[in-house]
Amino acid sequence: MNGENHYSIVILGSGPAGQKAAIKCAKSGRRVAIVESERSPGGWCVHRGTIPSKTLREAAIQISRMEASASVFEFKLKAGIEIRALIHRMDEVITAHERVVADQLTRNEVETIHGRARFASPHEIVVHKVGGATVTIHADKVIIATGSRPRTPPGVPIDHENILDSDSILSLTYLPQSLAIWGSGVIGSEYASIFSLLGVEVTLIDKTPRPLAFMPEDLTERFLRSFERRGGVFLPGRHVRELRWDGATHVVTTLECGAVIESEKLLVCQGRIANVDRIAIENAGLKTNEYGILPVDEYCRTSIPHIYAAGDVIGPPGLASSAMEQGRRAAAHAMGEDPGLFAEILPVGIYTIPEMSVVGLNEEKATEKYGNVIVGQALLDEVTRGQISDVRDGLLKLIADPEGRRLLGVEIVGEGATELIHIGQMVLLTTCDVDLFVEKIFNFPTLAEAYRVAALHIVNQREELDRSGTDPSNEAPPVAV
Amino acid sequence: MDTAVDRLRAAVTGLLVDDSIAVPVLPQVATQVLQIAGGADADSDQLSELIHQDQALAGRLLMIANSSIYGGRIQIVSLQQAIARLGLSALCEITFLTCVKARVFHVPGHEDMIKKMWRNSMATGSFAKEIARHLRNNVENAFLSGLLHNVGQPVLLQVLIDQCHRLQLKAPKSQIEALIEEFQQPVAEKIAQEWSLPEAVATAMVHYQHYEELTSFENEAMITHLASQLGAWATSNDPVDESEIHAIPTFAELNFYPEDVEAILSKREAILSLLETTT
Repeated sequence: MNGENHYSIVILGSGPAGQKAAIKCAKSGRRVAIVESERSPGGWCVHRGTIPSKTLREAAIQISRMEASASVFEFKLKAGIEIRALIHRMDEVITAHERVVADQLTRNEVETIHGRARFASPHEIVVHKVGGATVTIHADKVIIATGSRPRTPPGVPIDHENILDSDSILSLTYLPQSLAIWGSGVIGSEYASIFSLLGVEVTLIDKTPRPLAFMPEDLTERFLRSFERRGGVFLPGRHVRELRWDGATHVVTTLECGAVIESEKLLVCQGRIANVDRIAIENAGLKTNEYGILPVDEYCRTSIPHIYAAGDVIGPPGLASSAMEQGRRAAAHAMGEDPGLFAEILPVGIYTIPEMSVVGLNEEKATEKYGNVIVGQALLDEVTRGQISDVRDGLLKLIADPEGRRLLGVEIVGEGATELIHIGQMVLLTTCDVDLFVEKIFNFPTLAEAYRVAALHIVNQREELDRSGTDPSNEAPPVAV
Repeated sequence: MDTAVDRLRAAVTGLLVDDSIAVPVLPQVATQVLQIAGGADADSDQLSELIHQDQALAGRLLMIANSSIYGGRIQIVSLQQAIARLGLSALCEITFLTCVKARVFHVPGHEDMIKKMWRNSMATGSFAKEIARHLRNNVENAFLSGLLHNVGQPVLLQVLIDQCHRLQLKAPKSQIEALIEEFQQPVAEKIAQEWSLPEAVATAMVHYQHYEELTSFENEAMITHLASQLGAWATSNDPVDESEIHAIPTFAELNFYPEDVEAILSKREAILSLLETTT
């Protein structure tokens, strides 16, 4: 094997998992290469997913705020506005991020190979270039971080023109008048929020009884309330029988119950599939499980000892944050280092409008594990900053152990949830008592004060329990500020 | 002594400087179509009414509705039936194509040259659609940019013919074609302005040959550029070495791998069939 093409570690994919893995490996002085099929690094997260959608989200929120003050500023959104005008900074944001990633890889002497990788054997990877040329590289260790792509259910005619998926939804030039979204998971719910805030008539369809069914019901209930207040329609418990473009003006969605929904465009959000079907994993002795993902152990190692996998290819939670940690762990173990305990306290952030975030055990799981947990709540619109900022449908919950002392989990819905959650995350990591929130001082006015409000609620219940020995699940009402 | 070409060049330059190039005015029905494509409320009734008033357009729609591409088992005998069969989306597309062809790609006495330009225009638009679809770019805009990428050519042809007549010049076809190539960009830019085309479409159709100089809509221009080369290949009567097509640099710049290139090139037959219907 030509030494020039021999690497200590080869990483397939330059998304969050791949990037972190590459940097970790490179800092150890080893020869590292990343194989990336796109022209610039970053993965789906940068080019079609997280960054573009959150940029559009930000624009939607700003517009919504301006419309709320329309009488003062005489602001009116131009009819038929181009989406591009709303996300005019998107190209700048993406380019800036690509540059940061590329610079970091270069600074750490990670070699980037542009092409599509396919295993030829467990240690050999053939990289197919755009021009048709190929190069074979040899890797002592491999980390598969090829991400995922939108799943197209069988028989669904996604044409990326009228029936779209999450890769093509942002190619729309103009806001449609109506948009149906099939699937109320993370991507479907996030886009439902964004487009409804921009004045599009959104119909969200799913077979589940509520959107984001894996999240706590208190939170999704508030999201749904907010969505419906903006004119959004959620159709729960519905199965789609057929989707088609009528060749005229509408996508026609026929449900199993016989109902027909017509919309100008339709977004299919039926999950994502791991990008492992095009890299010839069978040549490396690997195969996916029944869910189409690569099974790995706690170190993100596959059944082949020198091959690791991280990010969306190993399945849920499918978050950029968890992907980064997985990439780091895989890289550390691949280099013979102790990756440490897996960060079990990993926040989950959903960028609906309003945002949602959870960390630690939610109420249901905490109850299963500990029994009668004590829950403290604070309504964000009763916190001064929430009133100033007109935060509606906001809620912060602290879940404490049955003694009402140790924090077990935090659930937040409301604008800023994905930032606020980190306060709770830090307390969870230090295993401090909820009294910390009561004893320490927060800036006034801030949304973070909701932690104190919720903590006081727990303290009240704890004291009540101490006094009377009653069941803490007979909750006292939330404490008003 | 100035040659015929020099004098024609000077004449066209003068017209451009004076902003005197006559840009064909699109009929109201085509403007309506552009508005619909741009996201305005789709009003098929109003569009239908306008079509009814345009005899040539109506006849064309009937013919296309009965063609193998769109036709069903039942013969279409009325305009209303044609509209119902085609649907608004196809209706818009065909209406716009027909109007552009009638108003722009129409230079009496030069039907062969115009027909070649039109076929190239249609093929480019069709390829642009498929390329955009693969890249998850906006398909509708790509089609328009591709369709209009050479819209300056027939306008220039008319201008040159008029100038030859005015100046009593005779210029060989090759020199006319060279002048068209030289001036088509500024003329296309003027047309884009007069027709108030969406910015993405205007930029791509005007600047596709120099996309590397763009600071915005570079992708859209690259798509148009690639599509124009594929359109020329598909409509060329001369044999073309397929390896040259595979090696078009814009494929690589748009990140097309060999299998992606094959997928786009395989659309050729379907696009040629569509050309037979619309040309």
